[in-house]
Amino acid sequence: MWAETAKKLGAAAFWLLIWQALALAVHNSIALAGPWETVLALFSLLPTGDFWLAVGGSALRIIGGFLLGSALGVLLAALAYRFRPLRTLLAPLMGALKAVPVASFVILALISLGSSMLALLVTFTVSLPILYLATLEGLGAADGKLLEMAAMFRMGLGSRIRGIYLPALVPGLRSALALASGMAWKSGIAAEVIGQTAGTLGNELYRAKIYLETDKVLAVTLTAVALAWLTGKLVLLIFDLWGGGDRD
Amino acid sequence: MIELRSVTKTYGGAACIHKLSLTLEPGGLYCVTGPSGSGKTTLLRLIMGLEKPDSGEIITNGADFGVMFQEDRLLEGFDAADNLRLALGIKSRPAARRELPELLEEDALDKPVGKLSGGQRRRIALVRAMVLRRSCYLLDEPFAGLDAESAARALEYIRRMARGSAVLMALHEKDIPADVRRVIRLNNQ
Repeated sequence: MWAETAKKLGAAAFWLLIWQALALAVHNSIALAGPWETVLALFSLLPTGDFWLAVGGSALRIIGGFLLGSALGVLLAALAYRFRPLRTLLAPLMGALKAVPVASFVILALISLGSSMLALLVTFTVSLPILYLATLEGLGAADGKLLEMAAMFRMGLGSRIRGIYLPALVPGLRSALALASGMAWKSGIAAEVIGQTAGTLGNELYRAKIYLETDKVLAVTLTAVALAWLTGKLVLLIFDLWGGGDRD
Repeated sequence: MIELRSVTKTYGGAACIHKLSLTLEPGGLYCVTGPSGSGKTTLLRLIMGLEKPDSGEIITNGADFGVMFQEDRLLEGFDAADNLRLALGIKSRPAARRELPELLEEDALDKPVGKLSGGQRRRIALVRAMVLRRSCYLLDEPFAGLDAESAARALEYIRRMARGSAVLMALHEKDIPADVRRVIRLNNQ
């Protein structure tokens, strides 16, 4: 395990060195700030209230949209699995949600709803089809022979879900949650930048860009990456605890 | 009482069950045998209602079934007791666990069934089929993968648990007990 950690740290150190070397070669902190300047910019942001308000504002909207979209995606998929006409009805909508560019969503939502809930709406629409499709596929992959057994034994719905559907769902759902949580942060921050939503990391990025503070752009980016990583880890931790529990 | 009247089932144009008539009476032990692909499993599935006959009639008179499929069909991530609980709706885990030691070794009780041997899995599937009182038990190769001693114990268990109910087992010729009420030989009717 230690060897694995050392390898990962070594790889990260390698890319940091490349970044530093490029920054030295470019020798222009507006074009490319180096890792050291970025860390200094981050440390200058950390004590400020505005920064933490921006972190909270973005996290609330992005994680809120991700959770709502994920929950509705799973619920709709369960209903669509049970009622085939609903699946047919939802197919074009999910296809559209998956294919329409995030920027189009952002602009449409900006026109009709304004900027304050923009990130929430965008992360919701990004997460929804990912979880919907993964859940539908997982349910469809449930073992037909086990379902036949369940019918013969007249297994209750709860037992079928726990014993047959959940084991079929878990691998795909886990990947989908990891993917959707990362996509939520990417699209959510993009929406905040385009919508210039006050009190968000996206807006901090936008302001840093106006003043050509590349080190601050990278510091805010680093923060968003860290938050996305943390969200993904937390979601999977909760999912694993929930999925692996109740075996009394 | 379960009655089959002149039942025919064909696959790919060939009849695997041809005009079979059979009555399963309460308390009777019946066996169906025949070479691979002769229709043993199909016969059990017809009685279970999972397949429809091409012609003829199956009258089950509202019978309920304890079934053992050709495959174990266990819930892989769960141990034996949870397999019984989930499949049979047994509320208490200790109650489910108490049903197992007769056929399953103590050290296998708490392992996920995916980590057990083929014989152990087969015995769990047998307990799952037999543990609740049913009017008829349909067992597809219940002794597959069991050594002679385990198979004998399993047969004794089936007899005891099924007392008063009909039992139809799909078996290889060599496994057929001497005292069965009727042997149905497919391909050799």
